[in-house]
Amino acid sequence: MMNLISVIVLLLLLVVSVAAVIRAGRVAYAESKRRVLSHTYRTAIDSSDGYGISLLCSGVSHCRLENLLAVEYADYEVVATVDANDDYALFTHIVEHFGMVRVNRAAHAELSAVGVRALYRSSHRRFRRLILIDKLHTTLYDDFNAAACYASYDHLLPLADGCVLLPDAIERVVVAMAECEGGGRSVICSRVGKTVSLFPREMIVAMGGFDERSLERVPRRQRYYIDEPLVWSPYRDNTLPALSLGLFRGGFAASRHRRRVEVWLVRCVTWLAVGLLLILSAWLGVPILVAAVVTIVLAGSVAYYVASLMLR
Amino acid sequence: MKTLFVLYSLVAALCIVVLWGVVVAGHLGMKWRRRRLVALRERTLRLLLGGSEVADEQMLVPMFRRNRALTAEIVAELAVVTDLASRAGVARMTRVLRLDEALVGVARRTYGYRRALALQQLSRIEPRREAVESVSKMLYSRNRYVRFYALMCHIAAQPTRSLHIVATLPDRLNGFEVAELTSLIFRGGFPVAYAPMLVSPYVNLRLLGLAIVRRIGADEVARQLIGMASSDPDRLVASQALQTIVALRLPLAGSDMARALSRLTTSERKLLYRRLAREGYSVRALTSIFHMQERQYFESLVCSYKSRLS
Repeated sequence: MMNLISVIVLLLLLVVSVAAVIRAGRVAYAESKRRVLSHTYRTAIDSSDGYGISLLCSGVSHCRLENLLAVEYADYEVVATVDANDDYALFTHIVEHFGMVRVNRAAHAELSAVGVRALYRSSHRRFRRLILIDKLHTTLYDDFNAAACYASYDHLLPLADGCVLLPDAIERVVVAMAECEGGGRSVICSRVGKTVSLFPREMIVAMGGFDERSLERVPRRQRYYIDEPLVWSPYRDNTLPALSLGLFRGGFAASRHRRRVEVWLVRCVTWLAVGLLLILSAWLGVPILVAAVVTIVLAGSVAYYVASLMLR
Repeated sequence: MKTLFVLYSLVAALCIVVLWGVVVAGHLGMKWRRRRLVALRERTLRLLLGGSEVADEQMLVPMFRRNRALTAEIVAELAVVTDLASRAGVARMTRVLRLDEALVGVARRTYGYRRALALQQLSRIEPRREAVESVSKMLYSRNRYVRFYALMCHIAAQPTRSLHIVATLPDRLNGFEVAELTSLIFRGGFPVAYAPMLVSPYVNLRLLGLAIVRRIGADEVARQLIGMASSDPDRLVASQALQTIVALRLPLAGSDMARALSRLTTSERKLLYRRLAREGYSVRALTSIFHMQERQYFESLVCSYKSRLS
């Protein structure tokens, strides 16, 4: 019986170690690809449908909108949803800062746009890629669906609150779209750091709109994964140790679109599993305890290495 | 059993040491590189801008292999933003300092995307033919980016054969590769005539020709574009020809256009209508092409325009 438990523990440790090493290898490989692409003319990519991207976001500040609009790629726009009744000061500040004017609105009937009060576009040429929707805030995914109704382009990139686009993120996604052309893979996902996914508009319409499990409903063979971070979700402390600890803690949670309660649940289960493993290992013997500790250190080192590449 | 755990711990500890070694080496390497780049960039700019006033002997200084590779990287960066007159200076510097040989060495020693990066830099520094011949077998690499940049090296070394090289590629060019080739053409990398490319029997040349037409707005080839959209055997080329017509804001009336539009599926038609709305087509201009429910859909796309509500 003891031998069986020891074998199971050993297999578990092996799986964790191998997964950590594979992850480190993937991220390093993606980093070398990023260096190749940084010296190319990605902003000039245009093809049959122009690879247009509409970035959908909800509840943003004007500083974050400046960051989201600072993209060189031409076929790109930002569709932001704000509840004017909820935060009138923020709404007014955005309208004044970006020179927004109220325009006619005619939503496509493909998705639900309940609660939309008004649509605004900018009168300044430099902010012409910004669309602002005044909408009653219900859930994040309702906001995304409403934003999709007014989006002009054929690919939708929903961005959760608090995320900041990293430099060249959109261009990186466009290159991925070019690589997937004609290959059957249409959903582009980033699985390092915060998970971000780009969906074709027709796919979202066929699914009935965005929800918590939009990505999970897409068959794996239609997904194309990028092992690079596209967004920065700032932690309280932006230093390398805090970031790697965040990666280490939230490794599983970051791989799914889940509600906040489920994220904490997964994190608690992860730490509980680690604690149980250590207790079990201590009970089984010193060599097993040492193996468990070394595995945890290896996983932490990989998280630190991935974080160092992200901050480069 | 305990032996297995001890062995596992040793291997995992070794992996940790290697990983930390990579992290520390990476940090130190980045620091060294930043320092050297500043000094070498200044020297390289001085030599390039000096032109014929700088003798070959002045350029030749003893260099470590890493410094030579860094110099090649700097020259590749500068070559992209220089005009034709300065490219002779780039070629001279490449020849005197043997930068192409340095990059060929890097390409041979590395794999994957690092090799692609070396080939990318080699394609930009006016390499000699002998250097490019030595990387010929990288044209058959499994990595698509290595294959593409090996192709770009051959184009750089033999610009007169560039169209033949592009035409006979086994892979179909994707959007990224078309953008790179188009940018090379517009930097004067190799001469092309876009109109004959549109009627070429090779798919890659037709795709490249369409990209050039979109880029320069050449609406004098409207008839060829309509012909491609309605009867090209390759579906992607036909779709791109249609999108090119829309990008140039050409009229969509006529029996050939109707035939082109009949080849589209429902979702492709919706994509097209969104593109038409973005390009500013009016409802009246498209009355002849709509199906039953499509007019309403298109009107909902164009109705959200900028106006003040009184």
